[in-house]
Amino acid sequence: MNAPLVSVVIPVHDRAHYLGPAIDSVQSQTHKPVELIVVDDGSSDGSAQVAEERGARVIRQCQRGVSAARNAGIEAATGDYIAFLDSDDLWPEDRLARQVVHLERHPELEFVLAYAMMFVDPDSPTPSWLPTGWLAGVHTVDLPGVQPPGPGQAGPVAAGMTLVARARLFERIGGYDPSYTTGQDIELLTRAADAGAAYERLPFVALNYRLHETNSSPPMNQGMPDMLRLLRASVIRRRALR
Amino acid sequence: MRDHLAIKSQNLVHDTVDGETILIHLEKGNYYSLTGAGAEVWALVGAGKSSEQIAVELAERHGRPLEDVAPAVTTFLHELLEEDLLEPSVTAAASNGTPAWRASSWRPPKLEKFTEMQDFLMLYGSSVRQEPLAPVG
Repeated sequence: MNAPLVSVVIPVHDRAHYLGPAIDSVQSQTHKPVELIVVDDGSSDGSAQVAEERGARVIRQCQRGVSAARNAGIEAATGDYIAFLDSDDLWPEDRLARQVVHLERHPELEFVLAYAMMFVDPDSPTPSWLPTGWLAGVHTVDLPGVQPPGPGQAGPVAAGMTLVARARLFERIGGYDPSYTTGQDIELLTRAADAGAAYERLPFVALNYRLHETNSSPPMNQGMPDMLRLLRASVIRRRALR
Repeated sequence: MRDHLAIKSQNLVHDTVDGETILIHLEKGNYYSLTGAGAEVWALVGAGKSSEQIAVELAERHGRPLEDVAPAVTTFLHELLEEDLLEPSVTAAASNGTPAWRASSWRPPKLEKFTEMQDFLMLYGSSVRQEPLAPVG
């Protein structure tokens, strides 16, 4: 039986310097085949060229935000599964293989999640927004075979961006909600769970989350107004089901 | 239960919209909804009112006998304390006045707890204060 095709969507806006390593981490995945879709969200720094040079399929759009960019990628995807990577982050090479194998073995699941390690970009100064000592206080999980975080690292932490979903999930619940400026991944996951989508979080690190000066959503400031709004929406959905 | 309670100062975010208060306990990953007179009670706790003062205030607002309102308030505050959404206050907090409220019929305060999203919300959980940090980039 042929291995299933996985569509990987990378939205990017002016992150040409990080995009190359992000794409490389997708192209070095042990799982193949992969359809790599980079959605250039109005970049002016040559991000699209970086993607094209590496053989990615590039979709260009005027800047409409990360959710609209991910949705454009979902729309264009032809794979059995869809995964997402932010343009400044990296994947371990076995990430897709582990998650896709699990989904293949468990047809009742509609998506899987895993964990992320955070790391301060070693080639840049420590981000000015990162409070001293914050990394040491991050709530972490013990995972088999995962070494404790070293200096400038934190984790493993549960992370929404470790999502790998069956393509049909998006046909059922729609894509990312562009009205959220933060917490978009959590909004999508709550909506999926409220719709009864079965999922598991697998006990391994599937994402290396880079901390740098220009993170769009620094992790200690995950847009609490958006978080409260998405949870209220979830409460209303759940009440309607009772 | 101590008479004076305060809204938990760390790892809790909350907001009240359309008479309903939503809370996220960032350590536990639970979220909660306060309905009925729950949002009123929450606002009065935030204003530094004691359990007794809250009951008296609600009885007056809603024209209900204090003996009906007080047990409901006590039970509700106990639930909030049990869920680690409030914390005992060593001293009576300075009262910040009485929060504005919209006239409504009396419905006892109700706490709804949602645990299904723990897996999504236990993201970082490290000493997040109520006041969000200034957004970056």
